[in-house]
Amino acid sequence: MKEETEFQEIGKNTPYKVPDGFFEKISEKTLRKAKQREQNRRKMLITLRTFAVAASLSAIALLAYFMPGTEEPVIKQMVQNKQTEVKDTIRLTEAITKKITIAEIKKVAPVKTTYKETKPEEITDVLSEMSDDELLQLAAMYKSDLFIDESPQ
Amino acid sequence: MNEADEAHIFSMMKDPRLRDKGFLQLMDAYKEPIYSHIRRLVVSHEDAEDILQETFINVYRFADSFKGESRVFTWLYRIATNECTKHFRRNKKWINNAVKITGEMAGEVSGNDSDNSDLILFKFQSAILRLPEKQRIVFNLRYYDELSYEDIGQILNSSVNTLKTNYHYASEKIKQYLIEQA
Repeated sequence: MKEETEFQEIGKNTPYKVPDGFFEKISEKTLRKAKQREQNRRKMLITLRTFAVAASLSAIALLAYFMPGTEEPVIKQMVQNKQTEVKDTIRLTEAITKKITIAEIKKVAPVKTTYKETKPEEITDVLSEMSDDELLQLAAMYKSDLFIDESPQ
Repeated sequence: MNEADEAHIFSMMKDPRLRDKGFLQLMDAYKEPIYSHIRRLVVSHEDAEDILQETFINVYRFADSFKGESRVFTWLYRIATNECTKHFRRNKKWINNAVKITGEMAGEVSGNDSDNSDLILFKFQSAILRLPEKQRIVFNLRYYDELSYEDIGQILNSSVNTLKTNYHYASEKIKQYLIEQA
């Protein structure tokens, strides 16, 4: 029997019913969900990047601590570089949570991190922009990190 | 929707300012056939709604990766079918639920004054639900959506000959079931 003539007496209908108004609302509902999912995914990526940078900072510090014969200024420089990276990532996270555009994010977060001596005034500026929660988190991170030099530079 | 319309919608979706508008146009064009395809596979409306949303959320996220090597509808059917198979893997007892829903609906119909044709539709669906997964998907895409074997091949990543064999076995099993239930 040919496919076209099979089950002719049954036809192509199905017995399943769709609730009234379902198709009118579903597109907008799905778009809202898709945008929400996209936003959450972006936040998650930023958080992961922050953790990755923090983890690499700790790893470098540990490595430097256990490495015999490493000169102190080199370690200091590496730690300072990583500190700058962490600050950049924190700024980027803040920018994203404030829902600014990609172009503005690029302005806030330089693509290449420049490793320079950070002046105490700049750190104060960054700290003043942070919320209480973020300050607490940062303080906890500084306290728990044995290798961050707290003596005046 | 023709290929030019599809291309236009995708160019909109790749522009951040027009992305949402393009998405809504695409969804409005395809939500009904894709929903029907999903519903025939999973039976429950709630599951079908979730899978439909998941399908189009994937479209929203991965629109940039669509290269236009196949037609948009085969791409959409492919995503929807993959979401359905994921649903089958996650919910091992889904088939019991689907058979139960179909049975309950058939029971409601036989209790009413509905004519016999509604009951035949339920028997037909029960027969389809008893098919192995691949045969069930091929049968639905061919019989209800009336897609060509070439299009089904793109959706399921199978050869035309394999699909024809799947369809043949499926229709034989359905006929056998209907004879037994007559």
